[in-house]
Amino acid sequence: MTRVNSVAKTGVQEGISRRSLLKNSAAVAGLALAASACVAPGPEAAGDEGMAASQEPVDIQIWWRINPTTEGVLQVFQEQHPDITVSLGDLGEAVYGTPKYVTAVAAGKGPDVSYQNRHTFRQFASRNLYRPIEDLLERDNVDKGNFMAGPIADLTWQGTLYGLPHTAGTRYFFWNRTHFEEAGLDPDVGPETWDDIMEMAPQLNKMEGDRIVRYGFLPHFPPGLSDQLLIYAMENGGVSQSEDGRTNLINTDPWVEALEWCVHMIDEFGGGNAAASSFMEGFAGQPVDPFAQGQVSMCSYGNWMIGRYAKFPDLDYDGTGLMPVSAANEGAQVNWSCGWTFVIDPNTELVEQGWEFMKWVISEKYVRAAGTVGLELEKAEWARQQLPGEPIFAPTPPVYQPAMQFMLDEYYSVLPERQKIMMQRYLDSETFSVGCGQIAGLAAAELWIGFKNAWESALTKKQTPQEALDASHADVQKALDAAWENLESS
Amino acid sequence: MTNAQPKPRLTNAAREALTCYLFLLPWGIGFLAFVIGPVAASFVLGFMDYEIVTPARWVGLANYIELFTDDQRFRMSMGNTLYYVLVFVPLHVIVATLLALLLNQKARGIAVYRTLFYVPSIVPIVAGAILWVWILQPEWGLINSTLRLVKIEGPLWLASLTWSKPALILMALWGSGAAMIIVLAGLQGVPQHLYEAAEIDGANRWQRFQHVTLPMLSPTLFFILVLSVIASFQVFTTAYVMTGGGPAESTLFYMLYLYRRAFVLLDMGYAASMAWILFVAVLALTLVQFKLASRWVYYEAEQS
Repeated sequence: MTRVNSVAKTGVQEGISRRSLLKNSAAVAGLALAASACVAPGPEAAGDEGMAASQEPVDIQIWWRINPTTEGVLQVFQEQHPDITVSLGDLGEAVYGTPKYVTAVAAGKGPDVSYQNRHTFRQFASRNLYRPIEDLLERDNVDKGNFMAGPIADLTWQGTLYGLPHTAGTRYFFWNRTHFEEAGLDPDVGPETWDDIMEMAPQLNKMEGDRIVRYGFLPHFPPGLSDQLLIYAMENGGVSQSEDGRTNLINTDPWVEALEWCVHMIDEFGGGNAAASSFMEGFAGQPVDPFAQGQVSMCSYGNWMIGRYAKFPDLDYDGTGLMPVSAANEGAQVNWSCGWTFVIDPNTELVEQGWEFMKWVISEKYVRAAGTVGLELEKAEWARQQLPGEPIFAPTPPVYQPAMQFMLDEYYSVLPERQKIMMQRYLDSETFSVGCGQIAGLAAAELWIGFKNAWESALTKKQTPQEALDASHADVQKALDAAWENLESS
Repeated sequence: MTNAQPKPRLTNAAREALTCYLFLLPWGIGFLAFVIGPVAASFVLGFMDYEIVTPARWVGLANYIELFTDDQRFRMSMGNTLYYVLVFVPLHVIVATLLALLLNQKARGIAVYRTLFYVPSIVPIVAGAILWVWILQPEWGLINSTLRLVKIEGPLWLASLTWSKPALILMALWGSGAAMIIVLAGLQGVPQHLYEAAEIDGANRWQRFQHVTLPMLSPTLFFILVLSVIASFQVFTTAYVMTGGGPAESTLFYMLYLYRRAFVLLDMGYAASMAWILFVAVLALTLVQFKLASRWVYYEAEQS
C-alpha cells in the first residue's frame, strides 16, 4: 500500500490526471528549490511571503525574572542571535507552585520558554506542562553527563527529560567567627552534629536581663522560609517518600524526632516560640537577615548567601554544605539541592528558537554575559553602600559543567580565600545532595504546604510534632494517591 | 385605489426599545461571555475532576461529598471565614457609622478630616497589606512599639494563632472609609425638621439618635450590612499577602483555600464546587437578611 501525501490526495480527489499532477508537483518543487537558494533555512521559509518573513527576526516570549541582569544578558543573546528577538515577561510566583505558567499553558497561551523552579517540577512534568526535550538533546548531541546529576534526575520523569537545569543551590550552614571567638569556640570549626549545636547555642546566646538579644541558633531561619523542616528531617535520616514515589513518609520517626528537636531548641535556647518568632518576624521582608546583622550566630540557609553575606563588612563568617546531623545519623553527608530550570511550552511552534535560547542560557556565553552585567551591578552596589575593598562577586552557580568550569576560572578563582573555600564546600555538597524534584514527587505542591503547616502547628503548640506531621502526611498522601490515580487513568 | 400614508414600519416606542437594546447589546454580549458563561461552566465543573491541564472527567457529586464528609480544611476555612464575618461586619458597620457621625459635624476643616478618613479605602489593597505587615510587626511595629510605651507587651499579631485573624480584621477596619462616606450621605439626607420636632418634644441627644437618626439611617446601614457580609465571605487578598493562610492555617479563609485548590493544587473541579457552596451560602444569608430587614429597616416611602 502506498502512502498518499496531501498534495497527491487532493489531486486524486479532484480528478486531476496523473500527468498534470506530476507536472504541477514538479513546478512546485522547482519553485521551492529556487526559493530555498535565496532564503536562509528556518521554519518560516516557505513561499514568497515566507521569504520576506524569514529575513525578519523571530520573536519568542520568555517568562523569566525581569531585572537588570536578565535584561542585560538578553541583549547579548539577541546580538549573538540576530534571527531571534526576545519578549521578556515576568514569571510571577513559581517556587511552591507556578499558577501563572499553568493557567497560561492550559489556555494555550503559554510563553515559548519559561523559567521554572524544581520544587514542583515532577508534578507538572507528569501533567504534560513541559515539552519533552530528549529529541532535541539527541539531535544536537547535548550530553546529559555534562550536567550535575541531581538536577538532571529532578527533571526526568519516567525516563524523559523535560527541561534544561540552569542554576543549583543547596542548604548551607553558616556561623559567625567573631561570635565563636567571643564564646571561646574555635572559629574554624563549625558544628558537625546536633549535639554540637546544642552545646554551642547557649554559649553563643547573649542576654540583656532575661531577654535574648543574640541567638546562638534558631531553627526557623531564614525569616519567611517555609521548608526548613526538610533539612532537619534529612539530617536525622528522614526521607519524604518511598522509592516508588507512592507513599509519603513525613510522619515517620526521623521526621517526628527532627520536629521535636526543633521545638526543643526553640524552647530551650530560643526563649520559647513567642520570643523567637517575635524576633524573627522583625526581619521578615527585610533585605537583611539577623545573621547578617550579627544577631544570630549560627544558621541553616543556602549557598547563595556566601556572596551576599560578603556585603556586610562587619560580618566575619564561615560555612559549610556539610549539614550538622543528629546522633542517629552521625557521619552521614546530607543536603538537598534545588534551583531553576528552563522549559519549553508543550504547545509552542517556536521550538527551535526556544531551544536555541535554552542552549545559550546554560552555556559559558551566558555565564560571561551574566557575569559582566552582574559584576558591574555589584561594583555599583559596592560604591553605593561605600563598602571597603574590592567587590566580592560570587554569581549563582550554573548546572552545566563547562559553564561551571568557566565560572570557577573566571569568578570563583578570584574570590577571597575564605569565600573560595566556601564555594568549593558548596560544590562538594552538590555531589551528595538529593534534588528537590525527587524529594517532592507528584504531590509536590501539597508537600510544601504540608511542611509549612506541620512546622507552624508544632512550633505554636497547636499540635504535637507527631500530630502535626500525621495531619500533613494525611493531606499529602491523599494528594499523592489522587495524582497517581489520575496519571494511571489517563 | 387608496392614497393612505404608508404605515411606519416601527412605532416610536418600538424604535426606542430597539435603540435601547442595541446600546445594551455590547454589554449583554460581554455579560453572557464573561459572567454567565464562566458561572455556568463552573457549575458543570463542580461535578468534574478537572486538573486544568488534563481533560475533565465526570465524577457526579463526588466533589461535594468529599467537601462535606472528608475535608477538614473545608470546615476549618469556613470556620475561619465565619469568625471573620461575625467579628468584622458588626465592627465595620459600627466604625463606619461612628466615623460618619463624627464627620457630620459642622467643624472647621471638616472636608480635610473626611478626606483623611476616606483615603485608606482607596489605597491599593496589596500596598495597604504590606504597610500593615510593618505596622503589626511584633518587635518594632507601630502598634507594639506604642503599646510598649504604656508598658504593654503586644501580641505576635500575624505570627500568633490567636491574634492573626483579629490583626486582619483590624487592618480591614482601617479601610472603612468607603462605608463611612455612604453613611455620611445617609446622615445628610435625614430631614432636619425631624430633629427639630424631636427637640421640641424634649428628646435628648441619645433619644434623637435612637429614634430619629437610626431609623432614618437604617436603609443605608442595611445596604452596608448586605455588601459587607458578601465581601467578608470573599476575604482573600489580605490573607494571601500578609499571612499566606498561616500561622498553622489560622487565616486560611474560604477563598484562599479555594484559590489554593484551584491554582496551586490544580484541582479546578473541586474549587468550582467550593465556589458554588459559597455562592449558595451567601445567597441564603442575603435572603435571610432581606427577610429580617422588615423588622428593623425603616423606609419612609412605605410608611407614608
